Amino acid sequence: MEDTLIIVTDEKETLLRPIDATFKVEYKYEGEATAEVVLEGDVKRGTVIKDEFPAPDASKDLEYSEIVIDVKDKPNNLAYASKTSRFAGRVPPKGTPVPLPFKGNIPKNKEEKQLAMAEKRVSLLERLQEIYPPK
Amino acid sequence: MAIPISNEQFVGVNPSQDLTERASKLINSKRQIYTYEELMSGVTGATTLEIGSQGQFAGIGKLVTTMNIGGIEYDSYNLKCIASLTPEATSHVVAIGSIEVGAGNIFFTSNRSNVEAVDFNGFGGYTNNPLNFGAMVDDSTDIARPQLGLFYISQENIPTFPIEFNAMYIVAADSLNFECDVYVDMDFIVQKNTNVEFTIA
Repeated sequence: MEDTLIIVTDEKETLLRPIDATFKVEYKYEGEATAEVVLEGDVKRGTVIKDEFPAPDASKDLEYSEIVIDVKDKPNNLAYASKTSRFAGRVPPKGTPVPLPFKGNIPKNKEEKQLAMAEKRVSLLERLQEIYPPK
Repeated sequence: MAIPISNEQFVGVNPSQDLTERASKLINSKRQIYTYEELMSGVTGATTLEIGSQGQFAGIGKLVTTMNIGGIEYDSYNLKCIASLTPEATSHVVAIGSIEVGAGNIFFTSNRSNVEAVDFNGFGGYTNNPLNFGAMVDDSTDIARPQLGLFYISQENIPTFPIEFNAMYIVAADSLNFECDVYVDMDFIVQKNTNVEFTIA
């Protein structure tokens, strides 16, 4: 049965629902040079929903597992940095939050907020006018 | 109904006094006691609306009701905005303002927004419809007609700002020019006790 395996949040634990990002789950075994990717895909609406984290190879000792969240560098994506969470000697617990660091701009005053809203308003209006041309 | 002279008079006791109600083991300090002002604000939500850069009036107010969803507690707030979508055009976007919370997402649980148009040369008077696709709008003919494009309230994060910054917009578009007045009235919930701040656009 599918369940929420990973939750992508900010450092205040707010779900980053609109974020455009990919994820990778890697297992690194003792004595092996590199980690093995066991699960990967897109983060959808701030979460990763799958059946289970894959079971580690029982014949090897798991040194650590990692969840890698890679935020796509594209315009209009939320201003959060990519992050890797590591779990020593175990697979990640189900529902693990991965809090991404904020790398954007915290508005300093009312005018900065108003300017950002006004710019966004104009851009939205221009996009609407492409579909509904002014008469 | 006569207006009480003070909150204490309405409640009947001074809220700072610990009194035990008959057949109850609770004392006042264990109860949530609302003043007359709080009760009334809980009914109407935001009542003080400031004017913004597009001539819109907007504000938020805290509601008395709280919600418990699966063990997580939320406070309720109300957003109001009054705006004229004029002069007539095919596309209108009004920036209402921003709702910033200390932490967590905001969830809109109720939308009672209204669209008013004039219909003087149609059936007469004014039309009032819920804000949505199909709401009646008007133009220079003063005849109301259904708007057949887009009509909604947008809640959007400004990409460069933290996720807790929610910008609110009235968005309306149609293939023909139109105008109308919009009365936004929406309730939203946030994590209990988190700060909530509104900045007019």
